[in-house]
Amino acid sequence: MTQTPTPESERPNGFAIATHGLTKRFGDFTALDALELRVPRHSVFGFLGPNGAGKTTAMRMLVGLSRPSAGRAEVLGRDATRDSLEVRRRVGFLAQDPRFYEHQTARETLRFTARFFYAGPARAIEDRIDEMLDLVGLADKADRPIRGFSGGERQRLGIAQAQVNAPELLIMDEPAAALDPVGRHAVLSILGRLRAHTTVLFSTHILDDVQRVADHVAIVNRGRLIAQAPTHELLAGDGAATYLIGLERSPDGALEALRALPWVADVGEHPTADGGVTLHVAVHDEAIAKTELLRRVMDVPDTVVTHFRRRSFELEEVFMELVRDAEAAR
Amino acid sequence: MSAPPAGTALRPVADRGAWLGFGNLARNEAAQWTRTRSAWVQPLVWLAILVAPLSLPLVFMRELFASEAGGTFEAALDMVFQMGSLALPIGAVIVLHGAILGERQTGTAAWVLTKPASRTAFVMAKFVVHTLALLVVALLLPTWIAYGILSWEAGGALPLGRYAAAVGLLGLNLAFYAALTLMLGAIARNRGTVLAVGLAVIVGADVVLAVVPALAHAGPWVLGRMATVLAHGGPLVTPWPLLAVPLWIVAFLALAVWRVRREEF
Repeated sequence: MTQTPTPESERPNGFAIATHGLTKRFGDFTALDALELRVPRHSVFGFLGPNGAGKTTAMRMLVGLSRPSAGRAEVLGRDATRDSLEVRRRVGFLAQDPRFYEHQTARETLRFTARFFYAGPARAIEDRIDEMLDLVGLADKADRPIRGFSGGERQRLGIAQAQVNAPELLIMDEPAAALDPVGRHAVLSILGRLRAHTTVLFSTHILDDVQRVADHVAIVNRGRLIAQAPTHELLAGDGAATYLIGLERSPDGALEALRALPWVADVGEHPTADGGVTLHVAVHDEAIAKTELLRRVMDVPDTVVTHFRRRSFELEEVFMELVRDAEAAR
Repeated sequence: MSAPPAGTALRPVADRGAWLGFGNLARNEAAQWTRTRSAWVQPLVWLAILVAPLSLPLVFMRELFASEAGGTFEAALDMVFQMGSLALPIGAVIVLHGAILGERQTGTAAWVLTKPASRTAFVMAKFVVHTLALLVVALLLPTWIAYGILSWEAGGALPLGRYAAAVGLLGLNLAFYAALTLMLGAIARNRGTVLAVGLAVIVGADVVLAVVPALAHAGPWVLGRMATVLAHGGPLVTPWPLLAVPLWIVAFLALAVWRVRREEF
Protein backbone atom coordinates (compact mmCIF):
# COMPACT_ATOMS: atom_id res chain seq x y z
CA MET A 1 0.00 0.00 0.00
CA THR A 2 1.48 3.37 -0.95
CA GLN A 3 1.75 5.95 1.75
CA THR A 4 0.87 9.56 1.18
CA PRO A 5 3.98 11.62 1.87
CA THR A 6 3.64 13.76 4.94
CA PRO A 7 3.41 17.40 3.90
CA GLU A 8 6.58 19.26 4.69
CA SER A 9 4.62 21.58 6.97
CA GLU A 10 3.40 18.77 9.19
CA ARG A 11 6.74 17.07 9.72
CA PRO A 12 8.32 17.69 13.10
CA ASN A 13 9.93 21.14 13.08
CA GLY A 14 8.31 21.64 9.70
CA PHE A 15 7.39 24.86 8.04
CA ALA A 16 4.26 26.92 8.49
CA ILE A 17 4.46 27.74 4.79
CA ALA A 18 6.24 25.76 2.10
CA THR A 19 5.82 26.74 -1.53
CA HIS A 20 6.95 24.54 -4.38
CA GLY A 21 7.52 26.29 -7.68
CA LEU A 22 4.68 28.66 -6.92
CA THR A 23 4.02 30.65 -10.07
CA LYS A 24 1.45 33.20 -11.12
CA ARG A 25 1.05 34.52 -14.61
CA PHE A 26 -1.34 37.13 -15.92
CA GLY A 27 -1.34 36.55 -19.64
CA ASP A 28 2.24 36.99 -20.78
CA PHE A 29 3.31 38.64 -17.57
CA THR A 30 4.84 36.46 -14.86
CA ALA A 31 4.11 38.09 -11.53
CA LEU A 32 5.64 35.29 -9.49
CA ASP A 33 8.16 32.83 -10.85
CA ALA A 34 8.68 29.45 -9.20
CA LEU A 35 8.75 30.73 -5.62
CA GLU A 36 10.35 28.33 -3.16
CA LEU A 37 9.48 29.88 0.17
CA ARG A 38 10.04 28.19 3.53
CA VAL A 39 8.60 29.91 6.57
CA PRO A 40 9.59 28.16 9.80
CA ARG A 41 6.97 27.78 12.49
CA HIS A 42 7.08 30.38 15.27
CA SER A 43 9.20 32.72 13.24
CA VAL A 44 8.60 36.32 12.39
CA PHE A 45 9.33 36.17 8.68
CA GLY A 46 9.94 39.31 6.69
CA PHE A 47 8.93 39.12 3.07
CA LEU A 48 10.85 41.92 1.48
CA GLY A 49 10.86 43.41 -1.96
CA PRO A 50 10.16 46.59 -3.90
CA ASN A 51 6.67 47.46 -5.04
CA GLY A 52 5.52 45.06 -7.72
CA ALA A 53 7.95 42.34 -6.69
CA GLY A 54 5.24 39.71 -6.22
CA LYS A 55 4.75 39.77 -2.46
CA THR A 56 1.03 40.50 -2.51
CA THR A 57 0.54 38.03 -5.36
CA ALA A 58 2.12 35.30 -3.26
CA MET A 59 0.11 36.14 -0.17
CA ARG A 60 -3.16 36.17 -2.05
CA MET A 61 -2.47 32.63 -3.25
CA LEU A 62 -1.68 31.51 0.28
CA VAL A 63 -5.11 32.62 1.52
CA GLY A 64 -7.05 31.35 -1.46
CA LEU A 65 -7.95 34.62 -3.14
CA SER A 66 -6.24 33.50 -6.35
CA ARG A 67 -4.99 30.26 -7.82
CA PRO A 68 -1.45 29.46 -8.89
CA SER A 69 -0.65 29.16 -12.57
CA ALA A 70 1.85 26.48 -11.63
CA GLY A 71 3.30 24.92 -8.51
CA ARG A 72 1.61 24.75 -5.16
CA ALA A 73 1.71 26.05 -1.64
CA GLU A 74 1.36 24.21 1.65
CA VAL A 75 0.07 26.24 4.55
CA LEU A 76 0.08 24.57 7.96
CA GLY A 77 0.25 21.24 6.24
CA ARG A 78 -2.67 21.81 3.89
CA ASP A 79 -2.76 22.63 0.21
CA ALA A 80 -3.58 26.34 0.00
CA THR A 81 -5.82 25.90 -3.05
CA ARG A 82 -7.52 22.55 -2.51
CA ASP A 83 -7.97 22.96 1.25
CA SER A 84 -8.46 26.70 1.27
CA LEU A 85 -11.37 26.67 3.73
CA GLU A 86 -9.39 24.67 6.25
CA VAL A 87 -6.38 26.97 5.78
CA ARG A 88 -8.53 30.04 6.33
CA ARG A 89 -9.85 28.62 9.61
CA ARG A 90 -6.34 28.63 11.00
CA VAL A 91 -4.88 31.73 9.42
CA GLY A 92 -5.34 35.43 10.03
CA PHE A 93 -4.86 37.77 7.08
CA LEU A 94 -4.33 41.51 6.83
CA ALA A 95 -4.52 42.90 3.30
CA GLN A 96 -2.38 45.77 2.12
CA ASP A 97 -5.33 48.12 1.93
CA PRO A 98 -7.90 46.62 4.28
CA ARG A 99 -11.51 47.11 3.24
CA PHE A 100 -14.50 46.79 5.52
CA TYR A 101 -18.20 47.51 5.41
CA GLU A 102 -18.26 51.25 5.90
CA HIS A 103 -21.57 51.34 7.71
CA GLN A 104 -20.35 48.95 10.39
CA THR A 105 -18.55 50.02 13.51
CA ALA A 106 -15.22 48.54 14.55
CA ARG A 107 -16.98 46.38 17.12
CA GLU A 108 -19.51 45.12 14.56
CA THR A 109 -16.70 44.36 12.12
CA LEU A 110 -14.85 42.30 14.70
CA ARG A 111 -18.07 40.57 15.72
CA PHE A 112 -18.77 39.69 12.09
CA THR A 113 -15.21 38.40 11.73
CA ALA A 114 -15.27 36.45 14.98
CA ARG A 115 -18.47 34.69 14.03
CA PHE A 116 -16.75 33.01 11.13
CA PHE A 117 -14.64 31.20 13.71
CA TYR A 118 -16.71 31.00 16.88
CA ALA A 119 -20.30 29.96 17.37
CA GLY A 120 -20.46 31.24 20.91
CA PRO A 121 -21.01 31.88 23.68
CA ALA A 122 -21.88 35.47 22.90
CA ARG A 123 -20.28 36.83 26.06
CA ALA A 124 -16.97 35.12 25.30
CA ILE A 125 -17.01 36.50 21.76
CA GLU A 126 -17.63 40.00 23.07
CA ASP A 127 -14.77 39.59 25.54
CA ARG A 128 -12.49 38.54 22.72
CA ILE A 129 -13.58 41.57 20.69
CA ASP A 130 -12.83 43.87 23.62
CA GLU A 131 -9.42 42.26 23.95
CA MET A 132 -8.65 42.91 20.30
CA LEU A 133 -9.86 46.50 20.48
CA ASP A 134 -7.56 47.09 23.45
CA LEU A 135 -4.67 45.41 21.66
CA VAL A 136 -4.80 47.86 18.79
CA GLY A 137 -5.89 50.90 20.74
CA LEU A 138 -9.36 51.28 19.24
CA ALA A 139 -11.43 50.73 22.38
CA ASP A 140 -12.50 54.36 22.50
CA LYS A 141 -13.58 54.30 18.84
CA ALA A 142 -15.19 50.87 18.89
CA ASP A 143 -18.72 52.08 18.26
CA ARG A 144 -18.07 54.62 15.53
CA PRO A 145 -18.80 53.78 11.88
CA ILE A 146 -15.68 52.84 10.00
CA ARG A 147 -16.41 55.40 7.30
CA GLY A 148 -15.05 58.02 9.66
CA PHE A 149 -11.80 56.15 10.37
CA SER A 150 -8.41 57.37 9.29
CA GLY A 151 -6.05 55.15 7.31
CA GLY A 152 -4.09 54.31 10.42
CA GLU A 153 -7.23 53.39 12.33
CA ARG A 154 -8.35 51.12 9.52
CA GLN A 155 -4.93 49.48 9.56
CA ARG A 156 -5.20 48.88 13.29
CA LEU A 157 -8.67 47.44 12.86
CA GLY A 158 -7.21 45.22 10.16
CA ILE A 159 -4.64 43.91 12.61
CA ALA A 160 -7.37 43.27 15.16
CA GLN A 161 -9.56 41.32 12.75
CA ALA A 162 -6.59 39.27 11.61
CA GLN A 163 -5.88 38.28 15.19
CA VAL A 164 -9.41 37.67 16.45
CA ASN A 165 -9.22 33.90 15.92
CA ALA A 166 -5.79 33.56 17.57
CA PRO A 167 -4.42 32.13 14.32
CA GLU A 168 -1.58 29.67 14.02
CA LEU A 169 -0.30 31.78 11.14
CA LEU A 170 -0.65 35.47 10.62
CA ILE A 171 -0.12 36.78 7.11
CA MET A 172 0.16 40.54 6.92
CA ASP A 173 0.67 42.56 3.78
CA GLU A 174 2.42 45.82 4.65
CA PRO A 175 1.10 45.94 8.22
CA ALA A 176 2.91 49.13 9.12
CA ALA A 177 1.85 51.03 6.03
CA ALA A 178 -0.29 54.10 6.57
CA LEU A 179 0.88 54.33 10.19
CA ASP A 180 2.75 57.16 11.83
CA PRO A 181 6.07 56.33 13.56
CA VAL A 182 4.34 55.68 16.87
CA GLY A 183 1.85 53.39 15.22
CA ARG A 184 4.59 51.62 13.31
CA HIS A 185 6.51 51.04 16.48
CA ALA A 186 3.40 49.64 18.16
CA VAL A 187 2.73 47.27 15.28
CA LEU A 188 6.31 46.04 15.19
CA SER A 189 6.19 45.48 18.93
CA ILE A 190 3.07 43.41 18.52
CA LEU A 191 4.71 41.35 15.81
CA GLY A 192 7.67 40.65 18.03
CA ARG A 193 5.44 39.53 20.92
CA LEU A 194 3.39 37.24 18.69
CA ARG A 195 6.37 35.00 18.01
CA ALA A 196 5.70 32.86 21.05
CA HIS A 197 2.13 32.11 20.02
CA THR A 198 2.07 32.06 16.27
CA THR A 199 4.02 32.33 13.05
CA VAL A 200 4.04 35.69 11.34
CA LEU A 201 4.68 36.33 7.68
CA PHE A 202 4.68 39.99 6.90
CA SER A 203 5.57 41.81 3.75
CA THR A 204 7.08 45.22 3.59
CA HIS A 205 9.30 47.44 1.53
CA ILE A 206 10.58 49.17 4.69
CA LEU A 207 13.90 47.50 5.35
CA ASP A 208 14.25 48.89 8.82
CA ASP A 209 11.03 47.17 9.92
CA VAL A 210 12.36 43.81 8.82
CA GLN A 211 15.70 44.31 10.48
CA ARG A 212 14.01 45.26 13.74
CA VAL A 213 11.67 42.31 14.19
CA ALA A 214 12.15 39.59 11.60
CA ASP A 215 14.26 36.57 12.44
CA HIS A 216 13.99 35.29 8.87
CA VAL A 217 13.95 37.21 5.62
CA ALA A 218 13.09 36.43 2.04
CA ILE A 219 13.81 38.94 -0.67
CA VAL A 220 11.90 38.93 -3.92
CA ASN A 221 12.35 41.11 -6.94
CA ARG A 222 10.45 41.04 -10.22
CA GLY A 223 8.65 37.88 -9.14
CA ARG A 224 11.78 35.91 -8.26
CA LEU A 225 13.15 34.89 -4.92
CA ILE A 226 16.70 36.19 -4.74
CA ALA A 227 17.57 35.44 -1.13
CA GLN A 228 16.13 33.60 1.85
CA ALA A 229 17.91 33.15 5.16
CA PRO A 230 17.80 33.86 8.86
CA THR A 231 18.22 37.59 9.28
CA HIS A 232 21.49 37.36 11.16
CA GLU A 233 23.00 35.24 8.37
CA LEU A 234 21.89 37.68 5.72
CA LEU A 235 23.32 40.58 7.68
CA ALA A 236 26.59 38.75 8.26
CA GLY A 237 27.23 39.03 4.56
CA ASP A 238 28.69 36.34 2.37
CA GLY A 239 32.21 35.86 1.21
CA ALA A 240 35.00 37.38 3.26
CA ALA A 241 34.29 38.65 6.77
CA THR A 242 35.33 42.26 7.30
CA TYR A 243 36.65 43.81 10.48
CA LEU A 244 36.53 47.49 11.31
CA ILE A 245 39.47 48.82 13.28
CA GLY A 246 39.39 52.40 14.45
CA LEU A 247 42.75 54.13 14.95
CA GLU A 248 43.58 57.55 16.34
CA ARG A 249 45.75 58.29 13.35
CA SER A 250 46.89 56.68 10.17
CA PRO A 251 49.55 54.16 11.16
CA ASP A 252 52.82 54.11 9.28
CA GLY A 253 53.39 50.75 7.69
CA ALA A 254 50.27 49.17 9.18
CA LEU A 255 48.48 48.71 5.89
CA GLU A 256 51.45 47.02 4.24
CA ALA A 257 51.99 44.79 7.24
CA LEU A 258 48.38 43.66 7.25
CA ARG A 259 48.23 43.14 3.51
CA ALA A 260 51.25 40.87 3.75
CA LEU A 261 49.38 38.44 5.98
CA PRO A 262 48.23 35.38 4.04
CA TRP A 263 44.78 35.34 5.64
CA VAL A 264 44.04 38.99 4.84
CA ALA A 265 42.22 39.56 1.54
CA ASP A 266 42.25 43.34 1.45
CA VAL A 267 42.75 46.40 3.62
CA GLY A 268 41.13 49.76 3.08
CA GLU A 269 41.67 52.99 4.99
CA HIS A 270 38.82 55.45 5.55
CA PRO A 271 39.37 58.75 7.33
CA THR A 272 36.93 59.63 10.11
CA ALA A 273 35.52 63.01 11.10
CA ASP A 274 37.63 63.22 14.26
CA GLY A 275 40.92 62.97 12.38
CA GLY A 276 41.43 59.29 12.86
CA VAL A 277 41.00 56.43 10.42
CA THR A 278 39.01 53.23 10.19
CA LEU A 279 40.66 50.25 8.61
CA HIS A 280 38.38 47.86 6.73
CA VAL A 281 40.15 44.53 6.85
CA ALA A 282 38.63 41.74 4.74
CA VAL A 283 39.92 38.32 5.81
CA HIS A 284 39.90 34.85 4.27
CA ASP A 285 40.16 32.97 7.52
CA GLU A 286 37.96 34.34 10.24
CA ALA A 287 39.13 31.84 12.83
CA ILE A 288 42.67 33.23 12.68
CA ALA A 289 41.50 36.81 12.32
CA LYS A 290 39.53 36.66 15.57
CA THR A 291 42.66 35.96 17.57
CA GLU A 292 45.44 37.46 15.50
CA LEU A 293 44.17 40.55 13.77
CA LEU A 294 43.94 42.89 16.73
CA ARG A 295 47.31 41.65 18.04
CA ARG A 296 48.97 42.37 14.69
CA VAL A 297 47.55 45.86 14.55
CA MET A 298 48.67 46.67 18.08
CA ASP A 299 52.16 45.39 17.25
CA VAL A 300 52.54 48.37 14.94
CA PRO A 301 54.39 51.10 16.89
CA ASP A 302 52.46 54.17 18.08
CA THR A 303 49.15 52.64 17.26
CA VAL A 304 46.13 53.54 19.39
CA VAL A 305 43.07 51.40 18.71
CA THR A 306 39.76 53.14 19.40
CA HIS A 307 37.45 50.33 18.38
CA PHE A 308 37.52 46.84 16.92
CA ARG A 309 34.52 44.95 15.62
CA ARG A 310 33.31 42.61 12.93
CA ARG A 311 31.33 44.42 10.32
CA SER A 312 27.63 43.52 10.14
CA PHE A 313 25.71 44.79 7.15
CA GLU A 314 22.64 46.89 7.29
CA LEU A 315 19.83 45.16 5.54
CA GLU A 316 19.61 47.97 3.06
CA GLU A 317 23.12 47.29 1.85
CA VAL A 318 22.43 43.58 1.53
CA PHE A 319 19.16 44.21 -0.21
CA MET A 320 20.60 46.64 -2.74
CA GLU A 321 23.52 44.35 -3.47
CA LEU A 322 21.31 41.31 -3.96
CA VAL A 323 18.87 43.18 -6.17
CA ARG A 324 21.75 44.58 -8.20
CA ASP A 325 23.27 41.12 -8.61
CA ALA A 326 19.92 39.68 -9.61
CA GLU A 327 19.39 42.41 -12.19
CA ALA A 328 22.86 41.83 -13.57
CA ALA A 329 22.23 38.13 -13.88
CA ARG A 330 18.98 38.59 -15.86
CA MET B 1 -8.93 24.80 13.21
CA SER B 2 -6.97 27.13 15.49
CA ALA B 3 -7.65 26.26 19.12
CA PRO B 4 -9.60 29.01 20.89
CA PRO B 5 -7.36 31.24 22.98
CA ALA B 6 -6.38 29.58 26.22
CA GLY B 7 -8.68 30.26 29.13
CA THR B 8 -11.70 31.17 26.99
CA ALA B 9 -14.99 29.40 26.56
CA LEU B 10 -15.10 30.11 22.84
CA ARG B 11 -16.80 27.40 20.83
CA PRO B 12 -15.59 26.87 17.24
CA VAL B 13 -18.15 26.89 14.44
CA ALA B 14 -19.16 23.52 13.13
CA ASP B 15 -17.87 22.47 9.75
CA ARG B 16 -20.64 22.93 7.22
CA GLY B 17 -18.68 22.17 4.11
CA ALA B 18 -19.90 24.16 1.12
CA TRP B 19 -22.23 26.13 3.40
CA LEU B 20 -19.53 27.21 5.83
CA GLY B 21 -20.12 30.76 6.92
CA PHE B 22 -23.65 30.92 5.52
CA GLY B 23 -25.30 31.87 8.81
CA ASN B 24 -22.89 34.70 9.52
CA LEU B 25 -23.06 35.98 5.96
CA ALA B 26 -26.84 35.81 5.96
CA ARG B 27 -27.00 37.77 9.22
CA ASN B 28 -24.74 40.37 7.67
CA GLU B 29 -26.93 40.66 4.57
CA ALA B 30 -30.08 40.82 6.69
CA ALA B 31 -28.61 43.71 8.64
CA GLN B 32 -28.85 45.78 5.45
CA TRP B 33 -32.62 45.46 5.75
CA THR B 34 -33.04 45.65 9.50
CA ARG B 35 -30.32 47.99 10.68
CA THR B 36 -30.30 50.64 8.01
CA ARG B 37 -32.86 53.06 6.66
CA SER B 38 -34.20 50.25 4.49
CA ALA B 39 -36.05 48.98 7.55
CA TRP B 40 -38.60 51.75 7.11
CA VAL B 41 -37.91 53.11 3.65
CA GLN B 42 -38.51 49.88 1.74
CA PRO B 43 -41.94 49.13 3.26
CA LEU B 44 -43.04 52.68 2.56
CA VAL B 45 -41.79 52.50 -1.01
CA TRP B 46 -43.62 49.28 -1.75
CA LEU B 47 -46.78 50.41 -0.10
CA ALA B 48 -46.60 53.47 -2.30
CA ILE B 49 -46.08 51.34 -5.41
CA LEU B 50 -48.61 48.59 -4.81
CA VAL B 51 -51.19 49.94 -2.37
CA ALA B 52 -51.34 53.70 -2.83
CA PRO B 53 -52.47 53.42 -6.49
CA LEU B 54 -55.63 51.69 -5.23
CA SER B 55 -56.76 55.09 -4.12
CA LEU B 56 -57.34 56.00 -7.76
CA PRO B 57 -60.15 53.55 -8.56
CA LEU B 58 -61.43 53.36 -5.00
CA VAL B 59 -61.34 56.99 -3.94
CA PHE B 60 -60.17 59.76 -6.23
CA MET B 61 -61.45 58.48 -9.57
CA ARG B 62 -64.15 56.22 -8.30
CA GLU B 63 -66.86 57.45 -10.59
CA LEU B 64 -64.71 57.05 -13.66
CA PHE B 65 -63.73 53.49 -12.83
CA ALA B 66 -67.26 52.62 -11.70
CA SER B 67 -68.53 53.29 -15.20
CA GLU B 68 -66.10 50.84 -16.77
CA ALA B 69 -66.66 47.11 -17.23
CA GLY B 70 -65.80 45.29 -14.01
CA GLY B 71 -66.17 48.37 -11.90
CA THR B 72 -63.91 49.68 -9.22
CA PHE B 73 -63.15 46.32 -7.62
CA GLU B 74 -61.91 44.69 -10.85
CA ALA B 75 -59.87 47.79 -11.65
CA ALA B 76 -58.27 47.76 -8.21
CA LEU B 77 -57.53 44.02 -8.36
CA ASP B 78 -55.94 44.46 -11.79
CA MET B 79 -53.87 47.30 -10.49
CA VAL B 80 -52.34 45.27 -7.66
CA PHE B 81 -51.26 42.38 -9.85
CA GLN B 82 -50.24 44.34 -12.92
CA MET B 83 -48.18 46.73 -10.88
CA GLY B 84 -46.73 43.80 -8.97
CA SER B 85 -45.79 41.89 -12.09
CA LEU B 86 -43.78 44.87 -13.36
CA ALA B 87 -42.54 46.61 -10.23
CA LEU B 88 -41.36 43.56 -8.30
CA PRO B 89 -38.92 42.33 -10.97
CA ILE B 90 -37.61 45.87 -11.38
CA GLY B 91 -37.22 46.07 -7.63
CA ALA B 92 -35.32 42.79 -7.56
CA VAL B 93 -32.92 44.01 -10.25
CA ILE B 94 -32.32 47.28 -8.44
CA VAL B 95 -31.82 45.70 -5.02
CA LEU B 96 -29.54 42.89 -6.19
CA HIS B 97 -27.58 44.40 -9.05
CA GLY B 98 -24.70 45.42 -6.81
CA ALA B 99 -24.85 42.54 -4.36
CA ILE B 100 -21.80 40.74 -5.73
CA LEU B 101 -20.38 43.30 -8.11
CA GLY B 102 -20.42 46.03 -5.49
CA GLU B 103 -18.50 43.90 -3.02
CA ARG B 104 -15.94 43.05 -5.68
CA GLN B 105 -15.49 46.73 -6.49
CA THR B 106 -15.21 47.89 -2.89
CA GLY B 107 -12.90 45.05 -1.90
CA THR B 108 -15.11 43.67 0.85
CA ALA B 109 -15.58 40.41 -1.08
CA ALA B 110 -11.82 39.87 -1.02
CA TRP B 111 -11.81 40.55 2.71
CA VAL B 112 -14.72 38.23 3.51
CA LEU B 113 -13.32 35.43 1.38
CA THR B 114 -10.09 35.34 3.38
CA LYS B 115 -12.25 34.13 6.26
CA PRO B 116 -13.56 30.56 6.52
CA ALA B 117 -16.58 31.25 4.36
CA SER B 118 -17.28 29.23 1.25
CA ARG B 119 -17.93 31.05 -1.98
CA THR B 120 -21.14 29.08 -2.33
CA ALA B 121 -22.32 30.46 1.00
CA PHE B 122 -21.26 33.95 -0.12
CA VAL B 123 -23.58 33.79 -3.14
CA MET B 124 -26.45 31.94 -1.54
CA ALA B 125 -26.60 34.19 1.50
CA LYS B 126 -27.25 37.12 -0.80
CA PHE B 127 -29.92 35.30 -2.79
CA VAL B 128 -31.75 33.86 0.20
CA VAL B 129 -31.74 36.97 2.34
CA HIS B 130 -32.53 39.58 -0.28
CA THR B 131 -35.14 37.45 -2.01
CA LEU B 132 -36.82 36.67 1.29
CA ALA B 133 -36.67 40.31 2.32
CA LEU B 134 -38.20 41.41 -0.97
CA LEU B 135 -40.87 38.73 -0.71
CA VAL B 136 -41.86 39.97 2.74
CA VAL B 137 -41.43 43.71 2.34
CA ALA B 138 -42.21 44.22 -1.34
CA LEU B 139 -44.75 41.49 -1.94
CA LEU B 140 -46.45 40.04 1.14
CA LEU B 141 -46.85 43.22 3.13
CA PRO B 142 -48.44 45.33 0.38
CA THR B 143 -50.47 42.54 -1.20
CA TRP B 144 -52.00 41.55 2.12
CA ILE B 145 -52.83 45.10 2.95
CA ALA B 146 -54.36 45.24 -0.52
CA TYR B 147 -56.28 42.02 0.28
CA GLY B 148 -57.88 43.79 3.19
CA ILE B 149 -58.75 46.82 1.12
CA LEU B 150 -60.09 44.75 -1.76
CA SER B 151 -62.13 42.53 0.56
CA TRP B 152 -63.64 45.63 2.06
CA GLU B 153 -64.44 46.94 -1.42
CA ALA B 154 -65.93 43.57 -2.41
CA GLY B 155 -68.11 43.50 0.66
CA GLY B 156 -66.59 40.27 1.93
CA ALA B 157 -63.34 38.34 2.18
CA LEU B 158 -61.83 37.38 -1.14
CA PRO B 159 -61.17 33.66 -1.70
CA LEU B 160 -57.96 33.32 0.30
CA GLY B 161 -56.47 30.36 -1.50
CA ARG B 162 -56.88 31.84 -4.94
CA TYR B 163 -55.48 35.19 -3.85
CA ALA B 164 -52.54 33.49 -2.11
CA ALA B 165 -51.80 31.43 -5.22
CA ALA B 166 -51.82 34.57 -7.33
CA VAL B 167 -49.45 36.25 -4.89
CA GLY B 168 -47.30 33.12 -5.05
CA LEU B 169 -46.96 33.51 -8.81
CA LEU B 170 -45.73 37.06 -8.31
CA GLY B 171 -43.26 35.71 -5.76
CA LEU B 172 -41.95 33.15 -8.21
CA ASN B 173 -41.55 35.91 -10.77
CA LEU B 174 -39.61 37.98 -8.25
CA ALA B 175 -37.34 35.06 -7.36
CA PHE B 176 -36.53 34.51 -11.05
CA TYR B 177 -35.33 38.08 -11.48
CA ALA B 178 -33.46 37.98 -8.19
CA ALA B 179 -31.51 34.91 -9.32
CA LEU B 180 -30.96 36.36 -12.79
CA THR B 181 -29.61 39.62 -11.40
CA LEU B 182 -27.32 37.85 -8.96
CA MET B 183 -25.92 35.76 -11.81
CA LEU B 184 -25.39 38.85 -13.95
CA GLY B 185 -23.60 40.50 -11.05
CA ALA B 186 -21.28 37.52 -10.76
CA ILE B 187 -20.39 37.69 -14.45
CA ALA B 188 -20.46 41.36 -15.40
CA ARG B 189 -17.82 43.93 -14.59
CA ASN B 190 -19.99 46.99 -14.22
CA ARG B 191 -23.33 47.82 -12.67
CA GLY B 192 -24.67 49.37 -15.85
CA THR B 193 -24.47 46.06 -17.66
CA VAL B 194 -26.33 44.24 -14.91
CA LEU B 195 -29.05 46.86 -14.75
CA ALA B 196 -29.39 47.10 -18.51
CA VAL B 197 -29.62 43.37 -19.14
CA GLY B 198 -31.92 42.79 -16.18
CA LEU B 199 -34.30 45.56 -17.16
CA ALA B 200 -34.14 44.56 -20.80
CA VAL B 201 -35.32 41.06 -19.93
CA ILE B 202 -38.28 42.60 -18.07
CA VAL B 203 -39.40 45.18 -20.57
CA GLY B 204 -38.39 43.27 -23.67
CA ALA B 205 -40.46 40.24 -22.81
CA ASP B 206 -43.52 41.37 -24.73
CA VAL B 207 -41.44 42.00 -27.83
CA VAL B 208 -39.85 38.58 -27.63
CA LEU B 209 -43.13 36.82 -26.99
CA ALA B 210 -44.70 38.52 -29.97
CA VAL B 211 -42.00 36.97 -32.13
CA VAL B 212 -41.74 33.58 -30.40
CA PRO B 213 -44.99 32.97 -28.49
CA ALA B 214 -43.87 29.51 -27.39
CA LEU B 215 -41.29 31.10 -25.09
CA ALA B 216 -44.17 32.12 -22.86
CA HIS B 217 -44.16 28.59 -21.45
CA ALA B 218 -40.39 28.50 -20.93
CA GLY B 219 -39.89 31.54 -18.72
CA PRO B 220 -41.48 33.90 -16.23
CA TRP B 221 -42.94 36.38 -18.74
CA VAL B 222 -46.59 35.36 -18.35
CA LEU B 223 -46.50 34.78 -14.59
CA GLY B 224 -47.84 38.28 -13.97
CA ARG B 225 -50.76 37.78 -16.33
CA MET B 226 -51.39 34.32 -14.89
CA ALA B 227 -51.51 35.86 -11.42
CA THR B 228 -54.00 38.50 -12.54
CA VAL B 229 -56.23 35.88 -14.19
CA LEU B 230 -56.04 33.66 -11.13
CA ALA B 231 -56.89 36.52 -8.79
CA HIS B 232 -59.94 37.31 -10.90
CA GLY B 233 -61.19 33.74 -10.50
CA GLY B 234 -59.88 32.40 -13.79
CA PRO B 235 -57.95 29.18 -14.35
CA LEU B 236 -54.23 28.56 -14.26
CA VAL B 237 -53.57 29.35 -17.91
CA THR B 238 -50.51 27.12 -18.29
CA PRO B 239 -48.53 25.02 -15.81
CA TRP B 240 -45.25 25.03 -17.70
CA PRO B 241 -43.78 28.21 -16.24
CA LEU B 242 -44.24 26.67 -12.80
CA LEU B 243 -41.75 24.00 -13.86
CA ALA B 244 -39.49 26.10 -16.03
CA VAL B 245 -38.98 29.07 -13.74
CA PRO B 246 -37.66 27.10 -10.74
CA LEU B 247 -35.25 25.36 -13.12
CA TRP B 248 -34.07 28.73 -14.40
CA ILE B 249 -33.58 29.90 -10.82
CA VAL B 250 -31.46 26.87 -10.00
CA ALA B 251 -29.46 27.31 -13.21
CA PHE B 252 -28.82 31.01 -12.56
CA LEU B 253 -27.69 30.32 -9.01
CA ALA B 254 -25.48 27.45 -10.12
CA LEU B 255 -23.87 29.69 -12.71
CA ALA B 256 -23.40 32.48 -10.18
CA VAL B 257 -21.76 30.09 -7.72
CA TRP B 258 -19.58 28.59 -10.45
CA ARG B 259 -18.41 32.02 -11.56
CA VAL B 260 -17.68 33.26 -8.05
CA ARG B 261 -15.75 30.08 -7.26
CA ARG B 262 -13.51 30.79 -10.23
CA GLU B 263 -13.14 34.50 -9.56
CA GLU B 264 -9.82 35.84 -8.38
CA PHE B 265 -10.68 38.59 -5.96
